Amino acid sequence: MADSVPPAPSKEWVLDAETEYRFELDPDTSFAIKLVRGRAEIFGAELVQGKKYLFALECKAAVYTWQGCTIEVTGQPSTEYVSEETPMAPYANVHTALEQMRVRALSKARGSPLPPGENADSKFLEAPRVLILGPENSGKTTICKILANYAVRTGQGWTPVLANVDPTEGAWAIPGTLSAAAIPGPIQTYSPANPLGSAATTAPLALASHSLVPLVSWYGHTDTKRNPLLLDRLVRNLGENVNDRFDLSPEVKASGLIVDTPSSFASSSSPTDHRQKLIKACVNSFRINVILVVGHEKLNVEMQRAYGSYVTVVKIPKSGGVVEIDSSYRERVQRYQLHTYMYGHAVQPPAGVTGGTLGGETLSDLVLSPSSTVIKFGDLSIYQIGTENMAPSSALPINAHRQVSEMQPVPVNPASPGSGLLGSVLALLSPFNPDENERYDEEILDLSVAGFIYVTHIDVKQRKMTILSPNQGSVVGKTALIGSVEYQDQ
Amino acid sequence: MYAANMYGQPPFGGHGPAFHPPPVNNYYASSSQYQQYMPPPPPVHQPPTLFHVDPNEFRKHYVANLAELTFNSRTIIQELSLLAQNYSRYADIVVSSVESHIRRVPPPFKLPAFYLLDAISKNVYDPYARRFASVVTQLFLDTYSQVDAQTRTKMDEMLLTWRTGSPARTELFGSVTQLAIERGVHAQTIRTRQTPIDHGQQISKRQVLDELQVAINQKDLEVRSNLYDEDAKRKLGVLHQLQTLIQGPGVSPEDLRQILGQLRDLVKGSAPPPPPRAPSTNVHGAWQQPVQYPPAQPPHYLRQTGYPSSSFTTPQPHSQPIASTSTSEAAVPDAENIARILDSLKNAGVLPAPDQAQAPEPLSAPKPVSDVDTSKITAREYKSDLLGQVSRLTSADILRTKPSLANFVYNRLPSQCKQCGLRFADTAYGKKKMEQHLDMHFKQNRQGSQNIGRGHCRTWFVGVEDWIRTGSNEDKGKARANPSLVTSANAPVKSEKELRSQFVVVPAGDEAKNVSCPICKESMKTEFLEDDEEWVWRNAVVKDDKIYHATCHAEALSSTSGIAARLRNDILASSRGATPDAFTLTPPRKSESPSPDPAQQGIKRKVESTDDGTGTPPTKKQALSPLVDS
Repeated sequence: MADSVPPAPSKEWVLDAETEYRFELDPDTSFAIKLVRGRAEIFGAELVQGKKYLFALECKAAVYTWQGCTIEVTGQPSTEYVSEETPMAPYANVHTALEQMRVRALSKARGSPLPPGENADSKFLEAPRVLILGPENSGKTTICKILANYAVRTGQGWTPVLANVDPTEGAWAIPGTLSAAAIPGPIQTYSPANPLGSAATTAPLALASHSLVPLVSWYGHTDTKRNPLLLDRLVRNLGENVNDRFDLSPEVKASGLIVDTPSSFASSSSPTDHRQKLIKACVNSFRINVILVVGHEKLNVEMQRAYGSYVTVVKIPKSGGVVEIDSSYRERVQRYQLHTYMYGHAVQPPAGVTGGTLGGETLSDLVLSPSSTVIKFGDLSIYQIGTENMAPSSALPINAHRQVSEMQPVPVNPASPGSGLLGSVLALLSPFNPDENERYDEEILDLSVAGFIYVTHIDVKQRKMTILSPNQGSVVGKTALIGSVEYQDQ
Repeated sequence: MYAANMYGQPPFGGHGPAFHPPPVNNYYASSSQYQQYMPPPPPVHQPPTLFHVDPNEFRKHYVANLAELTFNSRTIIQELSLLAQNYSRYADIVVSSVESHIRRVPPPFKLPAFYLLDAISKNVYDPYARRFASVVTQLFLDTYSQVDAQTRTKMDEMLLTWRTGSPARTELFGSVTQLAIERGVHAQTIRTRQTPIDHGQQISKRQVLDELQVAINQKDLEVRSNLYDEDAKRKLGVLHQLQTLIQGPGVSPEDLRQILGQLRDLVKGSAPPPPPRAPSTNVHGAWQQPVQYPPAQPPHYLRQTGYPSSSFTTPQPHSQPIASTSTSEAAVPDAENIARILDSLKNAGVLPAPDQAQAPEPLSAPKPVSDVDTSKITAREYKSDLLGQVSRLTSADILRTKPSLANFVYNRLPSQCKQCGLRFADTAYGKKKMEQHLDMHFKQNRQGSQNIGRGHCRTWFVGVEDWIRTGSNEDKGKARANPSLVTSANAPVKSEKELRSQFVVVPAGDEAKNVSCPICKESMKTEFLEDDEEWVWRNAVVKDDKIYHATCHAEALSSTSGIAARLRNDILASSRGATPDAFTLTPPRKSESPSPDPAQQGIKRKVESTDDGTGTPPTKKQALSPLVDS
C-alpha cells in the first residue's frame, strides 16, 4: 500500500429490522465496520456503537440486526449485499429452547423449585449437550458460535463448553487438532484464522473470548478418513475430559456443551460405517441430548432413526449467506491458522481508518513473536502414530493383520532422509505421568498438547534442527508427535 | 507453628473411631474454669494410632467430629485441625468434609466451622490453604448470604486476617481468591472502611445501611450490658429510626453522604464495648463466647491461632476492649451526632413529623437486602420469564415461533460495556456486576500499558487436569492457582473390603427410589448411617451421574484393562474427581486399539527408555509455565 493512497471509500448502509449485511473480503485486503445507530451483532456478538471493527484474511461475515441499525463500512469487499432472508429467527428459537434447558438443569442442580405449571419432562431437565451436523458449507461453525454467544449474553453467567472435533478446522489451535474450551464471553468474528475466539497469549486482552484456555489433542491430519480409529479415540478422550470437568461443578455443567463436527460426518462420500461410528462416538462420549442437523433432509431422517429414541433431533435451516468455498480457500485458511498460531495477527487497516480494533482488541496486542531455536536431535523424542500412507484395516484381506497398527507410536529418526520432518508441524505433548506405575501402553495417544513447533531446518551432519516455537519455553526432553500437517513460512 | 506439643494431644488417642464428644459444656459455661484448664500440661507425646490408613474410616471420623462443632469451641477446632495436620495426605477428605459440613449445617453453626477452616489453613497451611482456595470463594459468599449481620461482621474480620494469613504474610488463599471474596461480599463496605468518602462517588443505600447495622449492633450490646443506660437506649431507638428512614423512598444521595459521614464519626467515637460480664483482662474469654453474644467484636481467636498462648494477651489495638466506664463519655458526642443527622434530615424534608420520629421503634431491625438476595430474585425472575416462553425444540416449531430473544439479550439488559459490548441489567445487582466487569477491563488495560514495548507470545496450552479444574475456578485462565500440580500418586490400591465400605449419600427425597447398579443390575442397598445421620448407599461410587457398585465398577475396569495401574488410576479418578493424566476409564470403555503385540510393547519400552535417557521427565509445571518473561 502506497502512502499517497486516498482514504478508502466509506459508505453507510441502513438495515431494517431482522436483516443482515453480508460481506466477503479478497486476500490481502482489510475492511472496517462501524455501528452508527441502532443495535447490531456479528454471529451473535454485539457491536459497540462508534467502535471500528476490522476484518482481514478473507473474512466472510454478516452484520445482523434485530431492531434495525445504520452501519458505516470502509474498504472494498469483493461482495457485499443486504439480505432479508436469514435463519436467525429459528436459531434464536433454538437458543431459547437450550436456554430453558440450562435454567431447568441449574434449578435441578441447586434443588430450587421450578415455576408452577412447568412441564417436568425429564428429557429437558438436563443441560443442553448439542451436536451440530451438516454437510460442507452449511455454516456449522457459525451456528456453534451464534448459540454460544447468545448463551453468554444472557447475563446468567453461563460458560458453555465449545468442542471442536473437526480436524480440518483449527478452532483455537491449528488444523489437525481436536479441542474444547469454555466460552466466558462473546466470540468475535474478524478472521477465519480464529473462527471461535483465540487461545490465551501473554498479551492482556480486553475480551474474555481472546484468552480462552482450550484443551487440545493432536490428530495430526486434516482428513478424518486418514486414521478413523485414532480420531474415534481422541473424540472419546475429549468427551471424558469434558464430563470430568462438568462433574466438578454443577453450575458449569448447567451451561452445557456445543460440539462442532467435520462435514465428513454428513457427507455420503465417506464410508458409511466410519461416519456412523464417529457420530456414535460423539453422541456417547459427549452424552449428546440434542442433535441439530443443518439443512440436510436425509441426514436428519438418518439421525432420527438412529438416535431419535433418546436424543432430540432437530433439522435447522441453512443460512443463504453461507459462501460456497473451494478447497484452495480451505488450504489458505489452514495456512493462515498455522501462521496466526505463531505470529498472531498483523493487520493493516484500510487507508484512512484509525483506531480500529480487531475483534475489539488493540491491533498491537494481537501481534505475537515466536522464537526460533536450534536443538539437537536427541533433545526431542519424536513419534508418529501408525505409518505413513496406510490403508485402513478394513481394506486388508480377511484375517490379515498388519505389521504396524494404526494406533502404534513409531519413533521418527530425524537423521533418516525420509523422516519427513522438514517443514512439518510437531505437536509438543504434555509430559507422561510422573509415576511409573500409572503409565500404560499407548499413553502417548492420550496426552494432551502443550503447543506446536514447526521444523524449519534440518542439519543432518551436525545432528541439529531449527524449530519455530510459540514462546521461549524449553522443549528439551519433551515428546512430540508428527502428523501430516505442514507449514511453509510465507 | 503450633503443633502437637503446643496445645496438647487432643483427647482422641484412646477412643478409637467411635469418638466420644468432648466435655465441651463445662468450658462453655464458665470462662474462669476454662482458664484454669488452659493452657494444658505438656502432653505425653503419643502418635495418633487410631486409623490405619483407611480414608473412609478417616472421613467418617472426621465428619463425626465436625458434627460436634456447633459453637465456637477451641478444643474441637484444635482437635480437628490437628487431625488435619497429622493426616495431610487426606487433605482432600478434610477439605470436602469441611466444605459439605458448612454447606449443610444451619446458619448459626456455620461460623465455628469457618473458624476451623481458617485455623487449618493458617496453621497447617500446606497443602490446605491451596486446597481450600478452590472452594472457599463460593463457600464464603454463599455462607455470607445466609447468616445474620453479627456473623457477617465476624466473617468480615476473618476475611481481613486472610489478607496476611499465609506464613509469608501474603494472602492466605492467594490474591485472586482474596479479591474475589472481598469483591463479592462487601466490596462497598471494605472500600469505605479504607478510604474516606469520595465526594465524586455515589453512595448507595446499602452501604449506609450496612454501616448503620454495625452501629446498631454496637449500641445494642451497650444496652444489654447496662440496662439502666437510658441514653444508650435512646440512641439505639434513634439509630433504628434512621434505618427505617433510609430504607424508605426519597433519600437523596447527598443526604446519604451526610448520614454516612456522621455515622462514621459516631462509630469512631465509641469503641466496641467490652464483652458483658467478663473481666477485661480475660481475653481468652473470647474463645468461648457464645456466638450470639458479642457483635462487632472481632473474634480474638483468629488473631491467635498459630501462636503460642502467650500472644493471647496482645490483641490488635482496635479490638482492645475498653473499660465500660468510657461508654457514658462516648455517649455525649453520639447524641449530638445523631441529633445533627436528624436535623439535617428534617431540613431536607425527609423526616416526616417530629413526634413520629420520637416514637420508639421495634427492636427487631429489618434485615438489609443483600446483593446475593437480589441476585437470587433477579435469577428467579429470569427463570420464570424464560420458562414462560413457548418454545418447543422441533424442526417445525422453531420455524413458526416468533423469537423472544431480543427481549432477553437486549431489552432486559439496558447498560452496555463500551469496551466489549457485554450487557448488564439495570438492577442493583446488575450494576454491581457491571462495576466488577469494568474493574476487570481497567486492570487489564493498566497491565497492557505496563507491557508496552515487550513482545507478546502464545502460551502453552494447559494439561488435562488443569483444564478440567479451571471450570470450578471462576477466574478462567487468569492467575490460576493450579491446585492440581501436586500429584498424590501414592494412593494405595483399594482392597475389596475398602471398596465395599465406600458409600454415597442418598440425595434428599430419593430415599424411596430403587436404584440399581448399571453393571450387575442389582438394586443398591440403602442403609442408615448413625454417625452421619444420613441414608447412604453402601458399596457405591458415583461416576458420570450414575451410581455403580464400587466392586462392580472396579471389576469392570480391571477386566477391560488388565493392568493394575489402570485400576489404580481409575480408583484415583473416582475418589478424587480427576486423574493425574489424560486417562479416565469408565465402562463403557474408550476404544481399544488392536491388541498389543510384542512389537508394540517393545515400542512402549522404548518410549520409556527415551524418556529416561534424557533425564527425568519434565514436570508439568515446566511444561505449563510460559517461560517468556524477562
